[in-house]
Amino acid sequence: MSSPVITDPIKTLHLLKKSFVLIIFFGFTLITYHGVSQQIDVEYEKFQVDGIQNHFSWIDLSPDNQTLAISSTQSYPLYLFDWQKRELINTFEAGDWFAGPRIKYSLSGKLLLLQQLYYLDFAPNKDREVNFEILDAQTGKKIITFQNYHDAVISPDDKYAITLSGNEVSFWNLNTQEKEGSFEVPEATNAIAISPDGKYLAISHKTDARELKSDPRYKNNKKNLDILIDYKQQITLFDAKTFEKLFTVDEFYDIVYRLIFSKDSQYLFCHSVPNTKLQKKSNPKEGYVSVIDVANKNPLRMIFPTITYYFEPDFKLSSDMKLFAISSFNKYTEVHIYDFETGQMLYRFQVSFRIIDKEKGERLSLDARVSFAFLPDNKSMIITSGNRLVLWKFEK
Amino acid sequence: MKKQMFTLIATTSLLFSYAQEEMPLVWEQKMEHKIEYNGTGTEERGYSYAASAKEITFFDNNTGQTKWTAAFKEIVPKLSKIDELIPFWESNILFLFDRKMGKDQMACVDMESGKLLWSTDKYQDVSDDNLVYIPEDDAFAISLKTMLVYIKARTGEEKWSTSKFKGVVGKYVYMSDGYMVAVNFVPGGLGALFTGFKNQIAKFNMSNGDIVWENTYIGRAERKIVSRDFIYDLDVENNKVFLRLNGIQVYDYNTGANLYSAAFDFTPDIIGKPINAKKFGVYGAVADPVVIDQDLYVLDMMNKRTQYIKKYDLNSGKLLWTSPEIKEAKAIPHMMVEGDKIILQIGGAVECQAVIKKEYTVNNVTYYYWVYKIYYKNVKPCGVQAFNTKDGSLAWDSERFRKGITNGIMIDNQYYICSGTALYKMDANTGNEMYEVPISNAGVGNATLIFPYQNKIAMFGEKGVAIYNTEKGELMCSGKYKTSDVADMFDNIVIMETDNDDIAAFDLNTCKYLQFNAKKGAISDLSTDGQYVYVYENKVVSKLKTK
Repeated sequence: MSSPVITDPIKTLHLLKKSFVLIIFFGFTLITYHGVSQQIDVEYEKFQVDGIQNHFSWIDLSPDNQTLAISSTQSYPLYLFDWQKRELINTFEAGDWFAGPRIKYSLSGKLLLLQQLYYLDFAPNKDREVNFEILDAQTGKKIITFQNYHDAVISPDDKYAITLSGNEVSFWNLNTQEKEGSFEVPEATNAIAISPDGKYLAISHKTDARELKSDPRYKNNKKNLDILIDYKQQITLFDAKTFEKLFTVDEFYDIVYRLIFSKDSQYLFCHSVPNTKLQKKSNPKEGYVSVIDVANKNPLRMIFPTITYYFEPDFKLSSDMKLFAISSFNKYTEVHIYDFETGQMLYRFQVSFRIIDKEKGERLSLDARVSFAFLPDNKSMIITSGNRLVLWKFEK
Repeated sequence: MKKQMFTLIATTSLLFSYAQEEMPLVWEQKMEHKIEYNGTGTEERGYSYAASAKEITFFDNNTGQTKWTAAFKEIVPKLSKIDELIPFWESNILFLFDRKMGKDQMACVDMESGKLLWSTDKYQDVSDDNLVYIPEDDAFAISLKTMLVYIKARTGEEKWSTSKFKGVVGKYVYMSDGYMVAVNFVPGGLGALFTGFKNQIAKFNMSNGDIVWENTYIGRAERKIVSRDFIYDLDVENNKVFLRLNGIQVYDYNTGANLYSAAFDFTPDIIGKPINAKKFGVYGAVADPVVIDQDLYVLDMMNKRTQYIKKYDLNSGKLLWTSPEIKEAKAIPHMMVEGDKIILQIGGAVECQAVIKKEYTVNNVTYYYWVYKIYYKNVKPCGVQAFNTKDGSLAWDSERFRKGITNGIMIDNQYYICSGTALYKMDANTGNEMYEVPISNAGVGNATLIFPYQNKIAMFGEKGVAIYNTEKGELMCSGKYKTSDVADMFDNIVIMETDNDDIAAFDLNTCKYLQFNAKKGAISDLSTDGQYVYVYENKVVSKLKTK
């Protein structure tokens, strides 16, 4: 087949321009494709949620495993999504925050707790003060809002919101929106958690300098003592009914951002990030999720590392409590799945942008934010990827 | 008269007492060609080689008789003169290189028979630096400008190639599941070959060259200048890849995920290089990380003035504690954990390696040659400190070693340390001295290094070797030689070598030695069983007994 002869100089110019654009595009494609570290043997499917173009921020699966609550950035709505039928169930105007909210179902699934997120934490060494909202998970009705609080959780019976602000732990009746009680935790910091059995309240706080200075274990290393006093925190467990102090975990943690109990109340997960003065030059954004055996009051030497650049990572335990997943970052956003018993990493998914994968209208997930939810089979999970969701079957 | 007689007898007996036996000659063979390249095979193998740029001779280790000899052009017509020769003993292969601009010839010859296995001009810019033998597959990984090629050693057949791994295959771990984890590096002088190089650590499927995962690492994964040992370690344990380079970097073996790193950037600048040194390196100035169960102890050399010990959780890299600052330390060559104490040796003997240009004049003609030297230099300030493993607090600090240290060693959970002029036994728990023994009675000059030998303490002096018992530090034996350095060691045999290339073989059981006065520029190789020394001089190969 012979090529057509083009005599029109304008057409020639257009053709040259088109060729140039194509060469540039494919050249870039090849470079990008070559530059991306490809995982092999990964089974996943990317899909869109009912044509939604908004960038997703966080996801959580309802306790009945039917509904995926999805929040999005830039004050966009919050969605309820039937992940099995892949149908949008509902849309709520809530969590009106630019970087979107973290989202969590209450134990019964009747309520949703939203926590304001930020793209960047400009004062990582200071206590977090953000906004919280609690919604009815069916209607999206706003029940209560907390402005500039360190942390908030919903009680297992859905009756109370428990908040941390300054040194005060407060109990808010969700029917009346009235504060019904409170107590003080000296030098409280960022995080509070209530155990699903309703017995324990875990609260993070600064170390007690006087106590440490008089402790022979620590007074012989001034360098370390200063670090413990200035940059480390501790976790104390209280009786959730009487507010009586039960015990302080015999371990020092970096700046605690989040505390979560396992569903059987046996383990407490503590996400902490070192003070900027303690961060390693080699990996300045390393954080850790440490595990505490609550029943035995024992801080375990099971620690899951994560690298987070912009905000707090997502981490979850599978429903059978055999797998622990955490988001991380290493050139691309990633999800790591560990065997919870042994601490061995089993699977890794790079939520990397592959230019050859890109669908029309897809927005990139380049800001290191990723959230996920284990599916009921505990062999697959749904992961956010920009304005798409990824169904990853990690166990074949 | 009696007095004069006594003096004469005493002097004579003293002379006789220092008269040392020569190493018995097993055989001596003169080659038909100069010896520019040499290689000593093990006694089990039974043969070695000596070669010039044009000819090569393989000889029998037992008799010195020629096994085969040939001009290179007889083996490979395209090779009249070689520029480099690399032996790969494990595969019985000799690599020959003839470098011509853009038309490099490479040939593989069977050591046993001298027959050509294969030759090619397909691969350019290949040298000892970018050719790695992988014995597990009997194959070579050749790092070229654009790709890594994996070829079968004895046929030259290309098994696979990949362009996703730049630079030379450095240290690697070949796993039983057929996968290999390797780091890349750029040898000195090959920087121009690997443009766009980046530090890579990768896991290969060795059957097809697929890279399962790749990641980056921090630091320069180099080799030592003379001994060619890698200056880092790579291990796979418990499904984790541990790269010990400037601290420690940890990856997940299955997925390649970057788990954590506790690394620092530190370049020792503590010892000046010798005059006329072409290449020079200082090694071991910073102690390697120590792993005890789930604890990782890393010496963090933040900068020249600030050093700390840091204890991390091995699995996650979480910092558990930081020790007080270790003040005024230029080098911390040793860190060991004994019970609940971390013992730090500050200053002392640090390994140096150098390639030095030397010359000698005969009949008004000056000859130049290269000396490959491994030696130890003492770095000050010196000291010994111990820290508690629980919280990093200082347990004790010994003032005793301010003036000097060679090194410290552990024998049966007891700590022994040498100041250069005295030997000490110390209680690791308290830092108390259990004894102090001056070493002047050994008559071998100041100590340069001590090391454990059969529950005894062997000491290398400036002029010989001495053995002490551990119990009370009593001198058991000593042997005085000339000013020399340790050149080689096997079991009870230690080879000491002078600057003039003379050697002495010491028996550590008796401290007696046999000596051999070699010609300038001679190369001595201790056999792998320590029984013999092969000396290569000009055209002559000699085999000598060490006992």
